[in-house]
Amino acid sequence: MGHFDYLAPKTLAEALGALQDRGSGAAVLAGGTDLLVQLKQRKRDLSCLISVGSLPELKGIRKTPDGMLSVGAATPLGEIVSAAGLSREAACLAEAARKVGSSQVRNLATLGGNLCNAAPSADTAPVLLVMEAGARIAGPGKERVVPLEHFFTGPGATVLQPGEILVAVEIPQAPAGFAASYIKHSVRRAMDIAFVGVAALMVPGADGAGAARVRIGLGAVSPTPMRARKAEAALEGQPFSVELAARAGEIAATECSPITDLRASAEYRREMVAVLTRRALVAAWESAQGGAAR
Amino acid sequence: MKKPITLNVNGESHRLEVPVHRTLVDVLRDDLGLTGTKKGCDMGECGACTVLLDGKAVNSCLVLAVQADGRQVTTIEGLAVNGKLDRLQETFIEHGAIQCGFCTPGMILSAKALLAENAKPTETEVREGLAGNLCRCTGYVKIVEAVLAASGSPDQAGSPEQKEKD
Repeated sequence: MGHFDYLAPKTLAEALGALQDRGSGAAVLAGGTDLLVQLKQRKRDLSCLISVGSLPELKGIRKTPDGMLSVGAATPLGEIVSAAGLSREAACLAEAARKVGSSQVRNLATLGGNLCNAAPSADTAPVLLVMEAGARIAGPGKERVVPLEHFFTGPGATVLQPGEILVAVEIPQAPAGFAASYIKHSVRRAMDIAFVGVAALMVPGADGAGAARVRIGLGAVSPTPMRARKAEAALEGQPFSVELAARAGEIAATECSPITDLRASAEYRREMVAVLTRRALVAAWESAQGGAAR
Repeated sequence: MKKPITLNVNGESHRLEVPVHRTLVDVLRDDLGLTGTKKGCDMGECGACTVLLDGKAVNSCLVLAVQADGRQVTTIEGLAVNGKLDRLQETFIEHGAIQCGFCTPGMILSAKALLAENAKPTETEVREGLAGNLCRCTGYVKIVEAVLAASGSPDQAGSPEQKEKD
């Protein structure tokens, strides 16, 4: 794994200071389920790991005074799965979180780690995109919130500047009656990395015939998790039908740029985007209909 | 860099000084001689290294020993109490859920954690709960039966209801 120093700061301020001091050879360590594997495979070479997994400022799932759901970056995915009952938004995130790895992985892996590792296939990203979440980032002397849609800059790359740490993910309260669904396409039902991930969010319109808001998030089919905005526009405000959902799926398939790799070919991924977008939209629509009484 | 840590393993406290890059699985096996925990893939894919960390099942190959400082670790050696096997250990033996035995410690600890959170899992829930533990010998049927039996359920793995759901 190489040799590195290990620091265990007690506060976020200490961690930020340590990160500044140690410079480019240092990285933060939370659950380690990505980082340790990368170190073992010599894909990363680090001189210092700064443990942030126990920092109180990065833990916990809570509702903020302005109604947002704030999830600490160091919250293990297993804890997010258990917190599904906290709110509708929490349940949607939990549905995606439980598709990551195994229970052993989820007891270590954190939401922040899943996002900062920035794999295009990150399972928590599509549903956070459709819920229009923001990333709260702490840096030397200041904090900023970046819409998650702008957080990822490429495979494995984010907007985090040297010295910055992701502190929390903030999910705004979605309009009443919304539903969201995440479909992960992989060979095994567990442990695999998605070769296509699709999340859909629907808010039924006042007339009940169509969706007032449609959001589609795609994972594993472009350099970063992305929104399929043209597909959204084709559906939003229109009377809902499976045919229109299928059409939206076809549009989404043209918006992404999948590659061929060991998991799947680009052509297959593109075709699956169309199919799974239709399915996710239908699932979200039906869930919104069924949950209208809630 | 080395750090002094305290590991509470199976109820016993151990003060150690460990190089910070060493993983928990290596410290358990090589420093504490607890070789019941197995090292399979060393990258969190196979579950052979599963231990309980503060009661939660984790891949000990993905935990730095220094991260376990001050925390409770349960290995397979910690399951039997005064020589009396845990119910899961008994049902694994009774149901023929052990062939080569390499996956068994991790499998039993994952099952233990599953039953602690869900005392009466369905077959599907057992299979999902054990999804992070690979077995190359048994084909899993006997393992699932053993876990269901330990939970007190009369279900048989591979029942018609289950096949229909799949």
